[in-house]
Parts: sequence; C-alpha cells; structure tokens
Amino acid sequence: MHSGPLFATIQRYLHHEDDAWDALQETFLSAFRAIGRFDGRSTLATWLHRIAVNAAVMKWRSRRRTSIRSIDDLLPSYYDDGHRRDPGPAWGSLPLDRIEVAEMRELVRQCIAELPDIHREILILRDIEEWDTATVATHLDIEEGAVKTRLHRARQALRTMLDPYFREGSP
Amino acid sequence: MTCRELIDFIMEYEDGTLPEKQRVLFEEHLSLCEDCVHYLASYRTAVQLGKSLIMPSNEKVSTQVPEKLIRSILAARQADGTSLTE
Ligand SMILES: [Zn+2]
Repeated sequence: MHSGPLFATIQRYLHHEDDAWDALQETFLSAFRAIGRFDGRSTLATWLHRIAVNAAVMKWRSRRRTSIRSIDDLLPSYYDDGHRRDPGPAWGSLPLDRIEVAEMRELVRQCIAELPDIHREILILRDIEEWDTATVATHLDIEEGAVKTRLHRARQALRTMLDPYFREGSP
Repeated sequence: MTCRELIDFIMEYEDGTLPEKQRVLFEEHLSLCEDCVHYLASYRTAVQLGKSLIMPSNEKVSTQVPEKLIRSILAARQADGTSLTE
C-alpha cells in the first residue's frame, strides 16, 4: 500500500506535519479495523481516500482553537424590510497584482480553517471532496436539509471573510 | 422577493433545484437589484476559490496547478461579468 497520495490528501487539510502524520496513522488504523466492511463497491483507493479525509476532518476537530468565529457573525445581516445591511461595493477582479497566487491559496485555506467545525467539514466534504448530499448526511448522521443549510452558510461565511480582499479599489 | 430571501435561495438557484415560480421571482429581483447581482457574483467566486484553492501544500503540485485554475476563474468571471441572469 502506497501512502503518498493519502498523505497528500491529508496535507490539503492539515498544515502541521505532525498532525498530518497522526491523521495518516489514524487512517491506517481505521482502515484496518473496518476492512471487513469494505464492500468492493468503490475501489480500495477511493475507500482509503475517504477514510483519510475523515481522519483529517476529525483531527481538525480535536485541535479546536479558541478563536473560532461564530457563523452568525459571518452571515449577511439584514434590515427588517429584507435589505442587506452594508452591502459594500462589488468584488473587483482577483487582486493578483497585489497578492501572489500562493498567498491567495493560503488565504482561502486560512479562511476555511476559521469556519466553525460543523460548517468547515461540510464545505470540505461537499465542495472540495464532492461527496453528494445524501452521502454526507449519512456519514454525519444528520438530515439532508441540514447538510444543505450548513453548506450554504459555510459558503456565505467564506465569502464574508474574503470580502475585504476583493472589494474594488481596496488597498 | 426580498434581498434576504434571494440570498437564502442562492444555493438552490445555482443547483437548478429552485422551483420555477421562485426562479422567476429570483431573476426578476436580480434584474432590479444591483446589490444582489454583486452578492451572487461574489458568492460564486468564493465557492470557486474554496473548490480550487485547497491544494496539497507540497510544492511540486502547488506551483503548477493553481495558477492556471485562478487564471481560468478570472477569465470565467470576466466573461460572466454583467449578464448574471443569463
Ligand atoms: Zn436585492
């Protein structure tokens, strides 16, 4: 079994190498324990990939920091008549003249890291890993409606965090 | 439809699962409300960035792929530009 691709998958989500190694080890342990349930409907590589993503997500959960932001602070707020408060200017084009591509990637990664756990894991599983709604719902043992609501909130929160960098004419 | 309702419906609109009746109201609102046009555009960009920018941190992969991705997102956004309602 070649761990390179699995380690790369885990590193997408965990910056610290120690954490990534822990998650890799956890992946192999989980796989070992669950191998009897591997039903052959997916390839072994796909199955391991899923276990690895899950190990990374769980590791992240266990490293809960105190500075996690509340989702409510990251959602748009509205006046009573339904208009958005402080809509701000349109987003300009990506500020690639001011921010290096690598920095931009790191910025997005950090924003995702700041999401509350339940929103971050849905964003990762749905948008990045592209699991479908039903699979995520089963995996996390929540309703499909909750998956959709959390995903929409996670995306809006990501948008809010990126907003300052994209406002036209921002420094 | 208010701005708030429109924003609540964005994901379903993007998925194509918004019922016809609401889709018409959604697009009607968009045609009249610049704030919501901007919000939708920024939502799309944020989703794209989330989808494409989480890449392995080891350099071999990361120096090559994302730049292209970002450029193509940029191009798509500029092509998209004004006619968000299609
Ligand atoms: Zn509006």
